[in-house]
Amino acid sequence: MKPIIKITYKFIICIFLSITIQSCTPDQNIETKNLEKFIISKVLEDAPYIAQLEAIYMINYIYYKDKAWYQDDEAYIRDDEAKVYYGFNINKSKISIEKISNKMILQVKLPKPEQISIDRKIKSLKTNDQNTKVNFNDKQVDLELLITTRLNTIIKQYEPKNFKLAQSATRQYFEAIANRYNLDLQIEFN
Amino acid sequence: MKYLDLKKLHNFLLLKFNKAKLIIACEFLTFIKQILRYIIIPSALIIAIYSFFGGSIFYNIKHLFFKETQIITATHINSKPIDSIFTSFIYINTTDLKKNDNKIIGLCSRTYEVSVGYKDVQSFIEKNRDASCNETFQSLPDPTILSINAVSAQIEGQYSQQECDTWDDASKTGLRPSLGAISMKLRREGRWPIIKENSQHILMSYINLYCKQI
Repeated sequence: MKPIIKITYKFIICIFLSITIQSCTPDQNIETKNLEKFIISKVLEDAPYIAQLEAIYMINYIYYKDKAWYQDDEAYIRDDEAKVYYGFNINKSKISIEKISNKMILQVKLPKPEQISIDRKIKSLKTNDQNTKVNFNDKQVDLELLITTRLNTIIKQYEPKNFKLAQSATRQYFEAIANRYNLDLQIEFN
Repeated sequence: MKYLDLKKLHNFLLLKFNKAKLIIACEFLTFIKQILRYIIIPSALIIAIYSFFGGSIFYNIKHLFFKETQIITATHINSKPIDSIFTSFIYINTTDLKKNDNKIIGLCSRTYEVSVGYKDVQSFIEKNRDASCNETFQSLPDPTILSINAVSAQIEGQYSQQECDTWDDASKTGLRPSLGAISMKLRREGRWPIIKENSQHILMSYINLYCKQI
């Protein structure tokens, strides 16, 4: 046999062996299974709070025009607020306990975080004159559109950051669970 | 098991075909041999080493294509206490108006990123373990503002930059006036009870970990 071909066969066998070894998982004993069930029920119970992050965006729109000393200044200040929840669909998660070489490992697989809900309201309006017209370059501004666009821009801007925060908050919770039951944690965010 | 023997193949082909065809066939076989030597064998070697030392090859391949996957393996976490938990993120602005005869003559509007949560959670749980196990979330303490970060400011009318800056100046009282303004605004607009409830629920789920037994 030529040595190169020999080596190839050896490696092919190696690969198949390693794949089969990895696909084998040890059987769970009853104790592990009970703990797994307990942890899953605990997570489901806490899910509305730990699997999501509450973010509140309070923005204001200010229109201010300095006028001559004998006239009133035009001021128009409107507050807007949106509450957004970022989180995971806990039903799509996979939680299991595996025993690998005498170590109990809590394995958690979570889906991508997403925007769960949004709740928006106009909070207040302060102005010197209720009839203040918001003009820009002598054109009246569509305030509703302007404020909505600004709010959406800010929500978009903070979305990646808040997804990360939601992930780290959730990870911390699972770390506490693993810590409590002397497990090692392996957490995966897709 | 039979394997590819080029010499035997050569002799066999010499009997069957003419020389021109044989040269083409040999060229082709050499080409395949080169592929085997320089591409297939090295890659098999790499995969074999990967699967022996680096875990699943399927995972590694998946990991190459789906880069957003984030895997965090925390080992020896038993020594790590829960120092602080983070419950809410708030993007907020506080607007201070300067008024004259009830008319707005100037304003300072500052925008902040605020984090709300609890500090020293582990020690809190340990201190209150017996008491808090029988309590409901309403009896838990209020969360605190963990951090505030000024993002932008808008100054209009008869409000000076200096005056507006004092909102983030902690030199006089040791506390930034903006901190008070933010918590005032959250309370005044009825936002705080909702933040508080959400935070208390989160803290409760941590406390429950140490109270509930299997």
